[in-house]
Amino acid sequence: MRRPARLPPQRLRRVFAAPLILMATSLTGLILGLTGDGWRDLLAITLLILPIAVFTEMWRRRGQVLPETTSKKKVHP
Amino acid sequence: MTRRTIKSWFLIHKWSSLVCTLFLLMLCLTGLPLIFHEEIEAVSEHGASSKLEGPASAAEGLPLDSIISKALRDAGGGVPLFVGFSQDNPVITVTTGPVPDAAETDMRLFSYNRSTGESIGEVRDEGVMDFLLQLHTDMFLGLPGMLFLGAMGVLFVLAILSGLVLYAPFMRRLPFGAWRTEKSVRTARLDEHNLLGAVTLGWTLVVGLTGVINAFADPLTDNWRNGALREMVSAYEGEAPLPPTRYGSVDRAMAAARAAQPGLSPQFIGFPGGAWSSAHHYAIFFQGSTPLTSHVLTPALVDAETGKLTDMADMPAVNQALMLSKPLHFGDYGGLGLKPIWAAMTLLTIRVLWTGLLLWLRRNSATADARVEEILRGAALEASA
Repeated sequence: MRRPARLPPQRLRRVFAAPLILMATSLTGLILGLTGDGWRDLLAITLLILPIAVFTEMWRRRGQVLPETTSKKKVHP
Repeated sequence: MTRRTIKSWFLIHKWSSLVCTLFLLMLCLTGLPLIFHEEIEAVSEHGASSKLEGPASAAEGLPLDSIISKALRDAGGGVPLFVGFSQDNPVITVTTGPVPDAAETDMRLFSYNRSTGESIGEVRDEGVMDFLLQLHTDMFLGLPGMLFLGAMGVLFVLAILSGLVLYAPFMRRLPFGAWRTEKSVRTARLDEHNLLGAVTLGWTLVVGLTGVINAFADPLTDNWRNGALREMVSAYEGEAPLPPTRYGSVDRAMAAARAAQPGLSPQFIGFPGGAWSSAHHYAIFFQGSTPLTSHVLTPALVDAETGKLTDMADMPAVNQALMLSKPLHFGDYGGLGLKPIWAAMTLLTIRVLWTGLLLWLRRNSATADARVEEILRGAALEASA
């Protein structure tokens, strides 16, 4: 049986890095849009499109075999 | 995280989600067209009004008194309850009712061109969009319905947070965005559900929490009227409510308010005895002049009989938060650019709810321990046996 493509256990910081960055950009976008017009609106829209773009990209890549060693860092189990 | 902790969080995630999912699906499905209500109404018939060209009714036009008397004639009697202004076209609306504290169901809304005085017609709450809005707000159940949906919103936020906690053990050995389709339908679904939850996190939290705040809109307004407003008009304590026959000129009241706060634009007037004023005042609500403060209204209270300004004061912080939470919930700020994002995020949210529901419906073994095992393995059980 094929082993699932998995990494050595990652630190919590690493697991949550992407979701929390996307949350921060979304919140910044929402607030920028509310407090200004013009360039602020444009930046707000760009920041808010980010999570949608990330999802679309991952959807496009779904089913691809994951690299065994995405993480270069050695983490002790 | 111990197996036991994971199990507790799993049970919180399961039950908070299960209870609110069907209502959240309804909120997403009704919310989707509501995002574009302005655009949809602009192509339907009573949206013809928004195409009117001319100076904004909030800035200038025919005397308010003449428009109000016209509305009362069109209504065949009654009393004025609200006057609503537009910031970008000459449309002005007048709400009338049989008595000053009329119930919402007894109110009638008339729309006019303030530049010409022409009637645009009576606005009736019978369109598809009104139906969707009512379903989305209170499911036609009034305040209990609003509070119930508010409670569903609280559960939704709890589901998001508990899902975030479970994300850690599940993803511990997986790279961000892992979406394995070759293992099993269930593993692919788990991966999609986790990724969707992660990318929508910020937006769903904001729209969920602002939705909860909006659910308490009516009690918060009552609270303002019985608290801060009462203090502003304390000199009138004990006086009998002003009868509509003694209402003075609205134009004179508006002039007094504008003199006190030049440069601000009025958004609506609440008449004496209604939910948005005292028993003796015209409450003229002005919006701020910056993009942020344009969402926050400040009332000027003008004695409805004498036309003299009694007081003008910011609303309490909690009411200001309520006013700011509206645009954040509706996504109707920042121009048309934000609306497609709101729509896309709503679709992704529907997908999270749907994959979550399927994960529960198509579970192979009914025990919570089996689910915990999946979370610890970061994959469906049958795939990595």
